[in-house]
Amino acid sequence: MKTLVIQLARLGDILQTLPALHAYCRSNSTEKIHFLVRKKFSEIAHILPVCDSVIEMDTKVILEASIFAGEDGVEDSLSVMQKWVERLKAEGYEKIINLSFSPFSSYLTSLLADEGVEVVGYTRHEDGFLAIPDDASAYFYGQVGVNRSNRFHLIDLFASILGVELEDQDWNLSKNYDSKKLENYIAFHIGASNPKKSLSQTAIVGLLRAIVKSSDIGIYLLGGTEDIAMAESIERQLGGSKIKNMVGKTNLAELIDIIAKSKAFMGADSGPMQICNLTNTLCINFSNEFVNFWETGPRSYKSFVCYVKDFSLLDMNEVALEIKTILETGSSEWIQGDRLGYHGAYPTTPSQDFQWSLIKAIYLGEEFPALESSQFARAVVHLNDVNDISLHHLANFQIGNRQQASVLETADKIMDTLATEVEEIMPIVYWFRTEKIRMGPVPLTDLIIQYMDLHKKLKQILELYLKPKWEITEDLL
Amino acid sequence: MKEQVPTTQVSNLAKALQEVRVQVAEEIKINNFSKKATLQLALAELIKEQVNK
Repeated sequence: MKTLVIQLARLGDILQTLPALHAYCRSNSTEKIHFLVRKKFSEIAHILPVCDSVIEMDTKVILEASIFAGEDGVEDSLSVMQKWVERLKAEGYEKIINLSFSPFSSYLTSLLADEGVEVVGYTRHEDGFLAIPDDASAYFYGQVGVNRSNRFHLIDLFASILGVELEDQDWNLSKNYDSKKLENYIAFHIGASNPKKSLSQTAIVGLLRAIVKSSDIGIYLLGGTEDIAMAESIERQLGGSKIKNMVGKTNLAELIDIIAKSKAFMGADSGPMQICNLTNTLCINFSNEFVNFWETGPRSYKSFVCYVKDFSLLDMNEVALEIKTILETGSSEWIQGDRLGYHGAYPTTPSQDFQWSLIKAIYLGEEFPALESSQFARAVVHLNDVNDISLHHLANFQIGNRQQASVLETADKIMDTLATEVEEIMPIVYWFRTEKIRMGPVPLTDLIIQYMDLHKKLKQILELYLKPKWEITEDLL
Repeated sequence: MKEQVPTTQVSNLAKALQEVRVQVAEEIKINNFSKKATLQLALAELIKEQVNK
């Protein structure tokens, strides 16, 4: 059995794929497993190898003709891509697992998956529409992302798509480091892929000044070449021998080495932060509203997220003192649980908690949460009305009746609008929408039956909140 | 750590994207959704990723 696992996203996603991929390879030792990544981000897959072979996709080679000749280069680009796809197909994969969620990866998976090949993850139906064969990927499509209420970590979602359970051995992939011989410094990553995610220079200087003042620990500044100017400015402002500026001076292997040997890593949600999960480095992650820490926060032992809406509101002396305590005693009231704790403004609202409970009820079969919001109650009534209209037209559907098709289309649009106006209803609408998308190209009569089944399922959920036990009174409505 | 794509390259890629879109529309018109159309759409998406960087 030969399997291709596709991860065509960026470094951070590859880093979060590795524990799950390690678990998959461990659980399927008789399979030959190839890992497809972009050449630009492939280095990490070679540094921390977890499967039989790493295959690189060289975007520049495929696009070279188009880059230099525009429309006149398209045929050449198509030819290069075709040959590359044929080479991959010649490997004879019996199973393809696509862990990327991009349109490109779905088309590629579709091209690679001939009849008889088992496919997990995004691909395409024969009519070109998106196909999502597995429930875990469908969950990702419906519920994952900033401004959604998912609280499953990406690493767990990847494991779920791969159908494996993570064990301790799947986490610490960089096994060459002795946790008892850590060096006395903090690895501090000053940048992030998006500046909105990272601490400002002023905040970094304030925090590092407080750390240096209250402790004898050294600070290694880390970052890419685009962070060099800021690093030099930070270094100038702080001075002293405790600061070591490594920004723009490390390759990936050196970066892993520095993080692995550090007593702690500090920084925003970024690729380097994800390294902590693989080196079991204590991570202090600064997070704000521009990133969903539930999905991508640190998972190494005793790590925690320091969450604030605005980083300038952080009391740096308080943060520095707590970090000193953690490094000296290994514990803190900020650390709740083994793998993820939180400090700062508690980052959830009752509405978000309600949505998370709804998600668990829909996808995990847990109990549906009690009705608390009048807005949600109103949205349920409206959604139910619209759903009833759809059910009526589906039950009486006449092929060729454009008016009915238009009504059904409008009903779906109203549901989408409700989800944008009442956030508590989003998990239900997004689940419904995703399940509708998952229906493949089938004869119209079969499609009507499938649609009706789905609308009936939706009604069952809505009726939980329409029953008298919730006491929906005129006042509430 | 975003990579900057030079303006000329972006312009050429945008032209290439337009051309692939024309080609895929023709292909679907003639052969419905074929493997060739899938390949063209894959290329279009790959170009879009670069243009939108």
